[in-house]
Amino acid sequence: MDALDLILAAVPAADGWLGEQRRAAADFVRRHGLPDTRQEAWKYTSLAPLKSIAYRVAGTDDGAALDAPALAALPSACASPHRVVLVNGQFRADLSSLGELPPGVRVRSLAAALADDAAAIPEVFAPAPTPAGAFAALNSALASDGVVVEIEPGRVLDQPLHVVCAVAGADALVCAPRMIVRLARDASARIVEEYLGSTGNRSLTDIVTSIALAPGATLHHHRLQGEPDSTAHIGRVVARLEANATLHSDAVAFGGALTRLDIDIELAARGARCNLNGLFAVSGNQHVDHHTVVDHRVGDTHSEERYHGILDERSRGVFNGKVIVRPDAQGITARQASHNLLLSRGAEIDTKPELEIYADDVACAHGATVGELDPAALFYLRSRGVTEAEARALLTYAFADKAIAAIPLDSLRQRVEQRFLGHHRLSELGAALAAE
Amino acid sequence: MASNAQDLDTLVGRHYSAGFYTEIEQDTAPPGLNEDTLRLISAKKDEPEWMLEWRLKALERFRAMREPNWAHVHYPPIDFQAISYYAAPKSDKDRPKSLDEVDPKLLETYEKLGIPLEEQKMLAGIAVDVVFDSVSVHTTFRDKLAEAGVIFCSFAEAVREHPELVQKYLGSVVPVTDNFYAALNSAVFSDGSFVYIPKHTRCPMELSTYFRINAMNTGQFERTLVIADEGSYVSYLEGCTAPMRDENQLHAAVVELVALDDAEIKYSTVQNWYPGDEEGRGGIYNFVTKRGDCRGARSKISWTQVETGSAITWKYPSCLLKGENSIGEFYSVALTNNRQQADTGTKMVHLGRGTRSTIVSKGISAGRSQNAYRGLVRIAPGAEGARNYTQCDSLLLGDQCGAHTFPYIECRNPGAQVEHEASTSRISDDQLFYLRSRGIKTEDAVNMIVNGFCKEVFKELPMEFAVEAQKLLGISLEGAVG
Amino acid sequence: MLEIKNLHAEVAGKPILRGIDLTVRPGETHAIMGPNGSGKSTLSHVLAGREGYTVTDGSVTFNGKSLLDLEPEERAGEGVFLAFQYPVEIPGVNNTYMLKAALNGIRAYRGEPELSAVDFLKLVKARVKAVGLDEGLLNRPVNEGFSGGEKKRNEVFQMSVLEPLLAILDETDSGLDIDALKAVAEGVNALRDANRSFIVVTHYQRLLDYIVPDYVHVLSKGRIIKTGGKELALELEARGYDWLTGEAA
Repeated sequence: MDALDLILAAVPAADGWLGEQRRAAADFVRRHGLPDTRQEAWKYTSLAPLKSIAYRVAGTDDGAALDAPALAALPSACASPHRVVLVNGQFRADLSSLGELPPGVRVRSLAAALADDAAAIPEVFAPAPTPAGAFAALNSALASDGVVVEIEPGRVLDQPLHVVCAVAGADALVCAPRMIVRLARDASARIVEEYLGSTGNRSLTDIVTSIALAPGATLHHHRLQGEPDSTAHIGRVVARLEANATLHSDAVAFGGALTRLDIDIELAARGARCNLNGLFAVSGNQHVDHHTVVDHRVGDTHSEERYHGILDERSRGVFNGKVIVRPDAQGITARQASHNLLLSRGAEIDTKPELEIYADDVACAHGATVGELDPAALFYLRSRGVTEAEARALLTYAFADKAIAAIPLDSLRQRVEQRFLGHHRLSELGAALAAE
Repeated sequence: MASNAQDLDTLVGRHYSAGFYTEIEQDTAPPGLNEDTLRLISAKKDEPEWMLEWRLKALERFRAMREPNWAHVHYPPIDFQAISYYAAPKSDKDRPKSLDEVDPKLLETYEKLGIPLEEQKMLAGIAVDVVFDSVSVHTTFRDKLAEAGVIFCSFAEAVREHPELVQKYLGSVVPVTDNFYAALNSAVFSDGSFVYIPKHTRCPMELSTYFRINAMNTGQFERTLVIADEGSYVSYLEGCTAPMRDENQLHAAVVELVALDDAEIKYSTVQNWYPGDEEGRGGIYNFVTKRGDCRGARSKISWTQVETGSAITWKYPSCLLKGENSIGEFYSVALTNNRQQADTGTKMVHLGRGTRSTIVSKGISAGRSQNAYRGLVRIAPGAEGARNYTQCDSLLLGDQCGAHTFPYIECRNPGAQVEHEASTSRISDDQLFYLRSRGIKTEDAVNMIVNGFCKEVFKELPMEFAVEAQKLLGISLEGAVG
Repeated sequence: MLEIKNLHAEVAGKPILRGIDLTVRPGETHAIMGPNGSGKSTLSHVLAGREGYTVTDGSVTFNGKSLLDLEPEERAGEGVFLAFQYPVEIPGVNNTYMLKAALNGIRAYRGEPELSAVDFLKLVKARVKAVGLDEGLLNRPVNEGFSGGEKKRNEVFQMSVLEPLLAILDETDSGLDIDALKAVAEGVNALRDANRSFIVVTHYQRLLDYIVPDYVHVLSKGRIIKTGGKELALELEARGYDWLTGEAA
């Protein structure tokens, strides 16, 4: 990206640790540059298409055009009394409606949190920068706003917190918000992150969500990448789980010209477990890349992971799931599956499920499949009188439904269903399902 | 009763039965890698000018390349100038014409290895080529093979006597610049085996090569080229051993296989290079490039390997499936113990329509070893109807070792089907207890379970090799488990 | 032959057996019955020497030797055989091959010469018929893909080849339909003689219709709380366990 220097020049000034951290992060990015395909973690995802775009960092005014009616016109994934809206990475009080939050639940903008008690933020603010994770470092340098969610011990946020991240306004903006989620002991919450935007916008979203779960805490984290097919979206979710904490993650990606999402989970203490459910369904020239790392740092930690990919037209999907079991981390179960459907000539999937295991009392398994729609099933449906197009649609939907049905939040599941059907021009099927 | 883990610990230890060293007068080149080294090797081998040119060009390319570092292995930097690139038994100058003329000490060596040539000749009817350090010492059964039109000789001989075949196929599967070690081999390879099976010929016997590194501070860089012409079949076996030495020795071989229309090559390896001692001192660095080219329609190349030796193993016997409906297979058992490191697997590159491949990999880690499977399945856009099935299982014996799985699947054809399954677990307490309660000793029970785990691979080996492989597994695990 | 005195054992620090006393003489068949969780399977596993069970007190003597000091394979050598409730599958390990290794392992333990392949196969053929095991299963991997009934029959078949002095049948009836149950019982009965003893562990009386015991013991909370003849089993069938264990129904 030729504009990298320009972007780094826009790092916001700050005093104390924050300023230091931003400078260090910016230096790191300057030194290492952005990743390229020579790096194993970026082997299948080239950033070359971004090089020709003259990016600039989004300012507060850029998103002004997105007012309440314009926002309402965008399809929303989730009806919840608690909604936070970020436009181009900036918290918008005028569009947000937090409603009445349960006691012990605190939701603020990052800007406000930094102003209130900045000292309480740093330990979750920065993952250690790595060359492959240069975008996270770039986010550390740029992020001045975002959302901070804190829940006190034993408190429960039962209605989901719906975080809408919209891109709007001028073309080629860099939006770098930061989400911070901290659940104290035995707290539980449900958070929906949804990414939206107006058509034709070539913005670059560079977001980091950092999650800290204290012992016994439970978080359902649903992420829906539904930006227009013109945007670039590079996200990273970093989660650390203490004893008996549970993370359920749904990562769904339909949108974006180029989407890359890294989910790094550290199972740091006994009894911690995570359940990752992923679905990507893309077409046209879209490129979507999911990398996950589940790090079993100690014994008696458990993970389950299932990703489904559907690639149509000339799209390309990448899945790289890594399970690490550290020395002496005994009594581990880890399962991982990557299933992929290629719907047309020209589409490509590159999948790499990895196991790296240094302890022996483990039961780890992974599987990966790539294929087209089952010709026998297609034939069966057609012999029953279903048209070929409809039969294909039905079977594609059936494949995706394995991931969709696993989304535990009704409103979100329905929304994903609709988006999926719309995206894959399965509207007739959608109408039929809706009529049911 | 001792816990499983304790049993494993107390029983750890291994005996390397091929670790003897034969005192034979050696003709060894001074250490160092430069143009003069290549000229010396080339002169020793009486090579034509084109061969020397090829080597010199390879050296030039090699100098521009960097050592790969992506494998899951760790070792101190190798000083390529400290290695001697040529070592030969002195008696090579008057090459023996029959077995009787072979240095009796050498024959003794092979007897110690459990491959008495005479006996093998009689019993198994296997034609054996023996590569001792850098030169091919003896090839048995040449006359009988010649009758069938099969060429089986040392590589040096092939360069002299069948230059048209060598020039046509050498480097056509593994180009000089394929990778760092392939480039090195191309520059300095000293000998190896050459096989040509003419059209519509079924090779009348199994062909076999035994490799042995004997001299100190030498590397072994053999080159094997097997060409199966249309409608032919050959089964080729290779075995490897080396003496126990404190230093690490480098083995960087290149094997190229070419299968034309309807031809089939079955290539089996039992690799038992010296693995180093319990502390990881010494042992062979086994950095090998093996690739088969299914150039013809309906051709088939099948790799079977049992890897128990070497301090570090870095090899990926691969298949380029170019011919329509061609078939690639890879069956592997890789066992690591003590401080051994293995990063091994395969590449199946599907280019032609209707190509099929099967991968079965069984990794066994014991001691403090690290054992990784790394595999690539690539389906090119034109590989309509391609199929791959991969199964990749790891067994852990002990809590200090590692088992890793790095499969790469790249699919660019919607009509292809790829299926990959992998599992990692430790040896089952339930199975152990069941066998022991039937009266079977722990060590035998472990051997039985490990052999059962490897069954699918062993059944791909020719009978004599399967027996040897099972024995080898037993020896390598001796004491490693309980 | 077998003498269990004041046997206490625990699993993961939890006491399961709390003082078992039992004497089995040659040729006798003892049934051990009891509700779930009474310690029946623990007793079987402690006798066979399974890991994870800690004996905290008491002794087990088998023909004058302390059984608890022996490894599982040594116990097999002494003539103890456990027919598992859930026989494990062992992929790739041929059933016949395993059995040959077992038989010769036991013979070696006793200082007897190995059985030749020919004699072994003769023995196997004879026994496989006797217990009605499908001969095709002989060359399959141990228990892999066997039905529940086939697994249990395979256990009895192995027992008939290894000819133990004491056979412990751990809930051999579980998961069997009536025909399979009868077949398994016939196999066991064919092996009964004046020198061979059986401990039949079961939850239900049904198996004891076919393998008629000399004694029936009721196990509850890790102790034998009642001993009687075969009629005790019928009484248990009719009245349940509660009247003995003193718990309300």
